[in-house]
Amino acid sequence: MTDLQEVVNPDSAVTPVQESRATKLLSVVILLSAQVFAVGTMVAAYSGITVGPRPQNFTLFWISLLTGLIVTVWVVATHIHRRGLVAWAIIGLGLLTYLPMYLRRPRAVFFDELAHFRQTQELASSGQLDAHSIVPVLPAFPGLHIAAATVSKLSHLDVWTSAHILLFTCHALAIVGIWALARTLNLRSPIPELAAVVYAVHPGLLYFLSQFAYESLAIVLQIWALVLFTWIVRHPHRNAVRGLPVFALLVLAVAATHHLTALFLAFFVVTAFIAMLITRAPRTQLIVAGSAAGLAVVVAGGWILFHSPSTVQYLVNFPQQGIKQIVDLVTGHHSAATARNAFGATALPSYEPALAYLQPVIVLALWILGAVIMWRQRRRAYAWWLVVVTGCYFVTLPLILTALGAAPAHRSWPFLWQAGSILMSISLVAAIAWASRRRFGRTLAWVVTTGLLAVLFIGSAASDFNAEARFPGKFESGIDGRQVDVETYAVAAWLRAHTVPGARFVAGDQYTAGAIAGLTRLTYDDQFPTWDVLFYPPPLADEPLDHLQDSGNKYLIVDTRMLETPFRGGYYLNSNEPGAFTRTTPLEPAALNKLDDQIAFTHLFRTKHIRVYEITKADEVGENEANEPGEK
Amino acid sequence: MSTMTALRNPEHTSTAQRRELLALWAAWAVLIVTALIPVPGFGLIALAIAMVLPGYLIETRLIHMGQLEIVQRAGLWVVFSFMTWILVALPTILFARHMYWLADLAVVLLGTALAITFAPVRARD
Repeated sequence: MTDLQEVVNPDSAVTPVQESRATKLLSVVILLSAQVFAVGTMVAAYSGITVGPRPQNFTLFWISLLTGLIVTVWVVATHIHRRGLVAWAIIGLGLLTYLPMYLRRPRAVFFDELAHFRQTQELASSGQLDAHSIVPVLPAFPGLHIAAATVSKLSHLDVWTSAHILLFTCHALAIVGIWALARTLNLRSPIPELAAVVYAVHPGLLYFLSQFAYESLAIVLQIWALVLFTWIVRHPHRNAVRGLPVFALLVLAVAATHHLTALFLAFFVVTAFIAMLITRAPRTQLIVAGSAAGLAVVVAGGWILFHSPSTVQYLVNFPQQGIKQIVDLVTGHHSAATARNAFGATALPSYEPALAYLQPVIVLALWILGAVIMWRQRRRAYAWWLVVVTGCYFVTLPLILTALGAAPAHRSWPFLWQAGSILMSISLVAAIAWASRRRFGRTLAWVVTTGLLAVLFIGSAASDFNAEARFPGKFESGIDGRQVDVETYAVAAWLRAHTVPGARFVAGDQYTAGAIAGLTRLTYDDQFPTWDVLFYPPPLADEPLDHLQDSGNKYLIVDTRMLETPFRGGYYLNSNEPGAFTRTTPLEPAALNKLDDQIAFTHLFRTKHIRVYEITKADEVGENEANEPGEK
Repeated sequence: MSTMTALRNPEHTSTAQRRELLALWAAWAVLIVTALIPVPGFGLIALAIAMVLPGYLIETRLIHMGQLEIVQRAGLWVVFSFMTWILVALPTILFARHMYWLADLAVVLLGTALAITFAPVRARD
């Protein structure tokens, strides 16, 4: 155990190693060549895909990412004294983790990012925030939109290109931030460097934090707020007066960017303060940590409560429902509406789900080893914090088996892995140090470490980044990222040119609604029960028709491809609709075709699959009754 | 020593400090020109400066986290720059319901000029 303890001793000095100029040059050439190869392979992985990915696309995808991973671990293992080389390797790995999503979508296609895209466009073009109909809380959290619009304004680039620049930067900043966090904890190299690598393979970086959504920026600000907090608390006499005001400003920037991230930041700082109370930290440190915790709670909580109180219900609802569904699962009361099969009907290659099941086992083993090492460090508050926060990851795992708990579980992982990556890095470096002194040898230990990281990488990606989100392909009803295509963009372009901004519309399904709301200036009415009009065979009853005509909605937009399969998201419009989660057959074609026979609906525009109807008010129908419905 | 004092007393200012000040003022000049006069192709230069400069001033003048490596400090500069953008724009967006780009830029410029003028050249650490 003694040599394990030496690993985490607060001594970050790295022994310089004399290298010839040729050796130095060779390592640079190897790193750059591997990175160029990784980029080229990833470009190849995304080339020529039409209907969907083939096995070779997945193979190239992993060759690229694993090349980036292996070369970074190689640099950390063999060139830790070359600080510039290590920095470039880590930054390169961070940039590489955004490349798949950059290549995946030359324009916005995912539900969430369409909403953020519109908000940023509004801000960049008019200077005003939009009362967004799809995600009503967006105007209360404008940080991402300000940052992206500022990039656009300063660079004179379009909003989408600006979003890519911002996201590439955020990816590099996230893993450099973890490196800096471990460094401010005064952990000995190569723990901070390896922690950055572990964070690069966590579930979330490839997909969740690669979307143009507010958490992608907020989490970067949050990680660096933790760095600042650690720096302040470690030397309170010297740093508190200058650091605390800047920390408060950073918390405010986080709160103004994303609600959940602000709450996680407050949670982290409060738990760190509690850990310091348990370990009886010096009085000055406690006062400063308590002040920072108070600031974080007041600023984050205050922003949400006073600026966007409806967010509280939104944040509470999903985990609450998820826990209820876990109870239902355990007590045998679950149904198709609550249970969720892991990797049911997945299009991923078979090795990915297999490694996804192995991933929590490896994390558990590293957590246990880390907890054992930290027990010897139990007088240090960070030891408690790392073990407890990483342990929360296992609490979230059962939630992924429930329909409503899965989303909050996935969203918590990029936060919990911040502590997890440092703790796992401590375990890995301890194991390497132990193996290096025995007959296994240091090289073998690093090879095994790289193998474990590769398993974590593939397993993490499998659990968060499904095939449809990862690669472009044919239209698929109810699949986020596969339901916005050239037809959607064509309809949106027509609507932008021919409708009044702010006019309200209803739609046949949530993804069409989200796309139209994101790409036009129309407002989606998410409160209207459109299923009463669309879901049933003819004739259309008078009551729902009258209700729609009096609702103030001007347009009805339907993508007829919703008839091809039951909506894979579980419901077409929302979880309150008839047949949500339990529907096994798609709607009857007659249910949509009946619209063409109604004088209340006028065809305005249609593509091969998408129809735009104008809804005529009841009192205007009489005036138009003499006219036959037809296309304009 | 404040920046203004340093400028007035070059004999008490090290070469590195003078170079830093010169670089700062040059960077601001380029940013103002490229931001206010949209020159095609120069936008990325303005962006690069604006992504680093406010954060650089906050880090070096206010907190100076010298124990971090230079790459990590550079990360901090970008993060603080993002923070500055958000916090500078926030009041106009929330209260005036409109983001005034020129006004925001003026605020950043004024604030930073004051910071350069009155903050210590090297923060005490």
